[in-house]
Amino acid sequence: MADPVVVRLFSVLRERAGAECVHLDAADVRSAADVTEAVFARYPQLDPFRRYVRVAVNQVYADPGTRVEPGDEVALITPVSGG
Amino acid sequence: MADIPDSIQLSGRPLDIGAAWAALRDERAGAVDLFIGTTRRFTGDRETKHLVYEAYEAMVVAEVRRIVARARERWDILRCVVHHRTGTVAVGEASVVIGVATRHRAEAFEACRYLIDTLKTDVPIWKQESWVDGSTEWVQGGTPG
Repeated sequence: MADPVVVRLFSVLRERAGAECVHLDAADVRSAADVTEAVFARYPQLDPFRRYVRVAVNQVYADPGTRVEPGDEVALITPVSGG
Repeated sequence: MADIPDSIQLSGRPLDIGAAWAALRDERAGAVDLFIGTTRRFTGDRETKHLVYEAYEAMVVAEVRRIVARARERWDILRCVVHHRTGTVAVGEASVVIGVATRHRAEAFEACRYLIDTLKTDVPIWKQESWVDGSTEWVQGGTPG
């Protein structure tokens, strides 16, 4: 069994999903877009944020087509507000 | 090309402005620009009790390094400091310190401005307003800081 894809959630996504970390079966997600799709399917309450989310794969901003491998860390990043 | 490591840190404790300044000292520098972002009491007619900062820590340092690298391509930066809080920051306290040391002041102003502006659009840190009326609200990026 391959390592899961680990999805990190923060701020408003984390609060609304009630989870800071989601494990996905790597066989089900091959791309960053697949990961986004899977998370929003699992947590429909996140839907209002879908169009604002950027994706990072292994701590680097990624395009929807970026490949995702077993054991990768993916983060869904809503508009940031540091500083 | 950086010959001295940049000081890039997240901290759950109050930021040490003196330490940031110390990390920017350089005999080659004619200018140091130090930006401090502070927690403001009023936003419109709403009053802040405190801010809470959440960070994707593993990515913050990597992303700040990328931003500093781009800044170093544009300006001749001798030393650079980026220190950001996590956790609760009271009104009037520092949330972020960004500093650059350069030979001349024009570059210092421009580079420092670029670093804070780009941090605010790209670095995975989020602030939550805790208002005095007891409500909380995650600030969505793009709204006035």
